[in-house]
Amino acid sequence: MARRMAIMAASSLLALMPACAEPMAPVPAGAYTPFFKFIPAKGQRATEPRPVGIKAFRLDRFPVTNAQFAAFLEKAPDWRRGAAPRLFVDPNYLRRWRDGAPPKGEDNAPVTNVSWFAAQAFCESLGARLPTTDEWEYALADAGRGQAQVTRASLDWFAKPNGARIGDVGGAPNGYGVSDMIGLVWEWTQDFSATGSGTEQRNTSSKDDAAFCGGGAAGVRDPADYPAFMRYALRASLKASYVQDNLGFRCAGDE
Amino acid sequence: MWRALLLAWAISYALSFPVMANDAIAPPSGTSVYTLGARWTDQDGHALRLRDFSGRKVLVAMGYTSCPDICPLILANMAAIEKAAQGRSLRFVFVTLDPKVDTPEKLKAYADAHGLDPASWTLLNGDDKAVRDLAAVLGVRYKANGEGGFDHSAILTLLDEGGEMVMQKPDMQVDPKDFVAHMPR
Repeated sequence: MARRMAIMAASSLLALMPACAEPMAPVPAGAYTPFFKFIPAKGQRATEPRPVGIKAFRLDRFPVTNAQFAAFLEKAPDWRRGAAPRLFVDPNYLRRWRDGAPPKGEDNAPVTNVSWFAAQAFCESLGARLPTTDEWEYALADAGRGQAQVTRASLDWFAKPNGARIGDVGGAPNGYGVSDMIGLVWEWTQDFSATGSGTEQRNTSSKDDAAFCGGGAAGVRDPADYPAFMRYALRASLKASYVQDNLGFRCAGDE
Repeated sequence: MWRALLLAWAISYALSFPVMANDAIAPPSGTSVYTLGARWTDQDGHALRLRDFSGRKVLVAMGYTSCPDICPLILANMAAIEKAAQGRSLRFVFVTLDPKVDTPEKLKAYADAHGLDPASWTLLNGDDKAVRDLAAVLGVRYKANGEGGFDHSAILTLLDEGGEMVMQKPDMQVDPKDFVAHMPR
């Protein structure tokens, strides 16, 4: 019964979504300079960051919602809480859901407590994929439009206490037509684990020193971009089966 | 006489279906690496799934053949464990992070160049998703470095007969005895 209601909610959600014909926004090709320079091995200096080419792609306008994820679980029962293999999800997977349904009144909020594997499975079920980190950051950078606003919104978000109910999707779009990249949830990326891979590592226990400890400021594009440090540090801390109360995702597709 | 003939027929019948024995293995548990169902190709061009390694302990690592520095060390550490674990029926699996370049032929040449015994070593090529998923499960972090190579962590993982992770060594300070301790004769 609860699951049926979730499906109905998913249907009604489509009607509630802001008037966008397509769930994904087209993001044009361009060049993007990653936040991190080449992360040096200990004792070496970082080289200047090199722009990377980003092919045109499509990106969900909003983070995937609880109602959308409930609809996915109807079609993919192997991913329900209690059914998904422990290799792919940690014990807190969908921990606030009951009987296959999200918490009451949160259908239109981003789904959280989903692992990278579950997020990937959701996107694949739609013929899509998770965005790469470069694609996600490129979309957030928005060709330089509103950067100060992104920084301010990020800092406001970080200042909110944990435990507050996550709001519904539907924020104002950026120049590409993409909303809510900042302010609701952190988001999985396809190659989240690239952060922290460092150079060829002989001792992975200290892999992030050059990126996030004292040397970090010397190895980035903009040492004053504290929100970017936070985003990359979070990705570096994750494992693919992890879930968090404030970690969600959105899907991407090739043009 | 009839009993002996029947026995001989039964034995030859059973041996003629080696795959059936593999199919009889219990499905992987929810935490087994063998839950991953992707298809791989080994250095001899044979298709396989990870669960085909069921029944033996497996030491697995990820790297790529043009890796100049850390991968030879990974192989050297695996070879040291091979030497220390003689007689313990251990399988060694090296999975490429660079599947577009490291074709099965290239993996075969790499194995030959490093003197890896095909009786106990398997080198695997898979598609991008298979590689990404396995790396995610093993905790191997990697990214293209823009110069044709990859930055990646060097993790040795020991799997038990059911594909459960028994031990991981996330650096190159490997003492083969630590691995052998998990492999009673």
